Amino acid sequence: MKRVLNTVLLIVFVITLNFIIFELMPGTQASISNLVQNPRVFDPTQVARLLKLYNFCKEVTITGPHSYNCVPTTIWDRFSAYFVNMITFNFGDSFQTNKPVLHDMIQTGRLVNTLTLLGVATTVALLIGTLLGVVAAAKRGSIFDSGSVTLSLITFSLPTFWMGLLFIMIFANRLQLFPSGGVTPAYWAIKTPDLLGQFLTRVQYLFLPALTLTLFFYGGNLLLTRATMTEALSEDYSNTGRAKGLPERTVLFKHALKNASLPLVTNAALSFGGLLGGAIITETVFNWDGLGFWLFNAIGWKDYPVMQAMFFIIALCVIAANFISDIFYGILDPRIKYE
Amino acid sequence: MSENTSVPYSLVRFKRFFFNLLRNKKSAAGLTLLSIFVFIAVAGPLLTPYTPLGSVVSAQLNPPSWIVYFTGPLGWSQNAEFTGIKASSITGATLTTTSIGGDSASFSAASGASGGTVEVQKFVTWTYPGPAKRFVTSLSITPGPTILGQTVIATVYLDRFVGGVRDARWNIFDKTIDSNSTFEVNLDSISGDLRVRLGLSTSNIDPAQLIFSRQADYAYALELTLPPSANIDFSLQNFKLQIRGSTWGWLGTDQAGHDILTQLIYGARLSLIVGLLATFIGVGLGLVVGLIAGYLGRIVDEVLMRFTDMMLVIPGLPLLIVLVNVLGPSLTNIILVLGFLGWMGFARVVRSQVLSLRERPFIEAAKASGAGTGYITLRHILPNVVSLTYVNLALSVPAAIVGEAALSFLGLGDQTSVTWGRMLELARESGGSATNLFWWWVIPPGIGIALVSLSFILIGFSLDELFNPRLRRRR
Amino acid sequence: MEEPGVIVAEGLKKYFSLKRGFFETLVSKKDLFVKAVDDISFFVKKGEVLGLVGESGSGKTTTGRLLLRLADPTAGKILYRGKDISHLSARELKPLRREMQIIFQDPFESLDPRMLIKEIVAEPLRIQRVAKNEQELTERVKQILREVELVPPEEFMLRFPHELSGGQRQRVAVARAFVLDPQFVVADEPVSMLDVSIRAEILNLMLTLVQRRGASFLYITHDLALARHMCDRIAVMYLGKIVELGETGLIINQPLHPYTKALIAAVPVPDPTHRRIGDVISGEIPSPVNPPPGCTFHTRCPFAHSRCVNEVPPLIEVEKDHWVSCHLVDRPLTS
Repeated sequence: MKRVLNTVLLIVFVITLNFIIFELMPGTQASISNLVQNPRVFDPTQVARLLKLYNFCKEVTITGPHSYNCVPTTIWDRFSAYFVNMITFNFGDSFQTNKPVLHDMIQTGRLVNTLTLLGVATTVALLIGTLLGVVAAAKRGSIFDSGSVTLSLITFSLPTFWMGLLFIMIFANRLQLFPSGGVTPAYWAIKTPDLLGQFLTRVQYLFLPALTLTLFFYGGNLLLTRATMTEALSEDYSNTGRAKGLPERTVLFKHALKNASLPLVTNAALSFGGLLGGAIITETVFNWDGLGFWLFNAIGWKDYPVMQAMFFIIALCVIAANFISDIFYGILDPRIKYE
Repeated sequence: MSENTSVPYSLVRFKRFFFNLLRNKKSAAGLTLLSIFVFIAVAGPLLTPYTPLGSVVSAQLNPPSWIVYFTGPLGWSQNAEFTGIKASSITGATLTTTSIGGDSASFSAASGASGGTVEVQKFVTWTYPGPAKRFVTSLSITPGPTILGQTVIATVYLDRFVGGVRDARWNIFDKTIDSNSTFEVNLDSISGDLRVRLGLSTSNIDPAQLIFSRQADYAYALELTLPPSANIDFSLQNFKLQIRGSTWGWLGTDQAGHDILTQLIYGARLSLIVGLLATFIGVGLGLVVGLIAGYLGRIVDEVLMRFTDMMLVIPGLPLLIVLVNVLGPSLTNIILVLGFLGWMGFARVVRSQVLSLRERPFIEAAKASGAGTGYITLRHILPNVVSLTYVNLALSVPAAIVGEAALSFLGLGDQTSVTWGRMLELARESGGSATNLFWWWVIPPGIGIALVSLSFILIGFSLDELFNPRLRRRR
Repeated sequence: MEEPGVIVAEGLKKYFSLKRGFFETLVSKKDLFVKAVDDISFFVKKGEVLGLVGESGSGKTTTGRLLLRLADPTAGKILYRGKDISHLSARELKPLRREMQIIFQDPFESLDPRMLIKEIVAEPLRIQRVAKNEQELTERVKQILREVELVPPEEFMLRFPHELSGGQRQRVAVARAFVLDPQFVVADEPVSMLDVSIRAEILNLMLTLVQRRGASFLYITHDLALARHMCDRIAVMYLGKIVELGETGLIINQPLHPYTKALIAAVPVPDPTHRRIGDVISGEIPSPVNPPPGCTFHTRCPFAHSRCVNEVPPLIEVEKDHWVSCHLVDRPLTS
């Protein structure tokens, strides 16, 4: 109950923040008047629509190609309208395509592309990170331990986009093993191969971005697993397990990992925001036509409807991830009860 | 405070602390790395004579010169410059030199009844096995007033000599002069005019590649053909021809022929400044919020921590992108935004530390002596929170540096300055597509970012070990 | 009272409200309290050592903190030299703090780890602005360090707490408490964290310092045996109430309250012929959140009867300088 209340509060906060950023900052109004001055890119009807969307004006009449008349609204009018727009997912039309933002997000396959990339990378990173972390904790002090820790420290300090560029240089340009970017090859527009061929090609396109994102994410996971596992292995229940004569593997995975998985789940949820940030960058590097790449293009276009929709949706995803992790926490740890 | 005793002692303590830090392998490596970067950042202008975006040092997109050790010298060249200015008469003229040397010459030429020709030359011996990539010439001629009413033909040649004999000559410029005002000849081999003149308009070959393709002696010559019975003074300035080779320096050049090493050095400066300033802002804010929330408690604490939690949940990079986009991508804005988005985690840590400190008996003891909130915060709470600050400072700098680099990479960097992130953006952008990445341009900034981050992470981790309260209690 | 004490507590109460979630407070209006100190009255005479004895959770530490106004009383009065200090503001209290000091239990926690010994000891002088100049301050610090036998003081002044042993740290804490020459000192289990071998030294040191200044001393402990050696009078606390109060001899030799009897019986006596008086009580001290009604001790008292469950026994003076709160001894003793 308290969690739900908190989550609702958070959503209100995000919408308010979004509103403040886009409405009160001097840039927005100025750029809208820029749009008005620059009909080469944006026609006045679009500006009028935009002003309506932001609720700057109660009524807009277009008086000429460069001018409009506006009956201004109060800030509360704007906020309430904006609030309703946001929670009903009415984000307006994209400047780039003049189509509804939601259409550009879903029908174009961007959402699916991003989810594919994120899903694959997160799963692999969690699996590898946890597994290596467990082994490192079990063999604490060994070469494997220090090696994997050093490696994850290194991938931790390398910027994601740089790793992506390196992979493109090595695997795409030099070795020609993978395409350097994109989601599907251009010739698919003319002739699509059979399903197996489609699948293999898609995997080929997915490989490098997924690898980059995985490397971005697995290091933190490994370090955390190692730390919590080291602690768990020194606890009494682990020693009891060993004393009972259980094989080390059972102690590791059945006893210690089960108890160490709590912080892992929490961390996965908390780092979800960072992961989305990594996805924006990775998608940009590999021209992966997902939400992040879309946001990147929206920046160049000053496509405000897309930008704020993306900001809102990303924040919403993170809030949802936190909420889910809280519930998971309750399931994993029977001591925690929610009213 | 008794300056005479406690100050030296705190110095002793600092020294001891510093040596502890050096004794730790990790932090010693981190400190060494960091001091190298700080040196590079501070001594930047002493390390390189160029400016990151102002000086064109060689041809565009040259790999580093040491590439020849891997590929063999074949096909590669470096910069060369014509030297040894010489003026002489060729036919039917007498030449009186008033001064000559460096890039300039002054002389008067007197022609006979059938006219005459004089010549000013500079020479170079092309020793590289590969062709040049580009050349740039400059020359300004000021004839004396006696030229008025007469015409002089000025021609610029490039001559090739093999075994002391001229085996080729390229006419790269000519002009008829009839006034005594200065005129300049600035040629760039990449320009279309020169290509057309040399019959290369349909090929991709740069005139420099055509001309400087053999190991031979070359002359850069200005010929002045005088009318009959003339006596004219000439003053030559800036008589230069730079040949740009196909490799350059330690780290090569970018799209416009700028020195990448210089960009890297100046980038270290900006990246460190951005990282440190943003972190100072973030840590300062976190410290203030944490202290206030922790010490005042109650409603203030509740409100501040609720706000902090909300800010923590908002995804960082999208908010950064949106804010920088709205505020405008200047370096100051980026620093401010990075700073103002980097305080939440630290505020929580400080708050919990203050909460636990507040209950400690030594605070009670101070209260029992009549100490007020201000005194306790300044003398007891703050000094006990400072160690956390060091750790957090060290661990936040990499985040800020990478954050700036990511913003720059997304095209939201300061367009007027060269940070490491912006170098990477330029490297990616200039290629036009991802298939055109140049390793000498892409790798160095990334390694820079990684090493600086690593040094701070190493220092931060060992500081954490040093200050860890669990370890401290055991002492 | 024919002889008013330096410090007097009258009907002193301290309730802590239990912190509950925001949501819980919406649901139920009733607030829960921990009755740490529940209506106690006593006094400490000039130059007297009063022992406050009780189990952990009995409220003895809170009582000490209340007397020094380190905690604000929920109800009741604290009189210092006849002046009610229970509602004074921090500023009004500041001059009085010069005369009242406290020594804490844990010498590892009571000294700021980031301050030099000199600064720790000088802190009260600085806060109270007692010393005229830096030189006088240093001199006073040296003098008190000599008094607590941290010699040579020059050597100890420039050390940090973690460079000292537990006993030395507690000496520093004692020095800090006595540097202002206080008239009333509270010592909260000052030796319970120390090695047994040095306890006596520290206790004797404190007694000497107290006597030299003619100060009053409230000695809080769970150890009746130590209190017996230290104190002129002893007060026994149980669940926030004083159950018995009197001269040390009377308390030790003729305890009247069953709880006191049990405490004394629990003290090991190096005498094989010694017989135990009364029964040893069992069980643990009940939660002060929801203390038992009537006499709070009735849940563990071997002599409890129906009256004990329903009626709170008053603290009455059963003989001169001997007060008891028990239904078994509800009228003055006839000798």
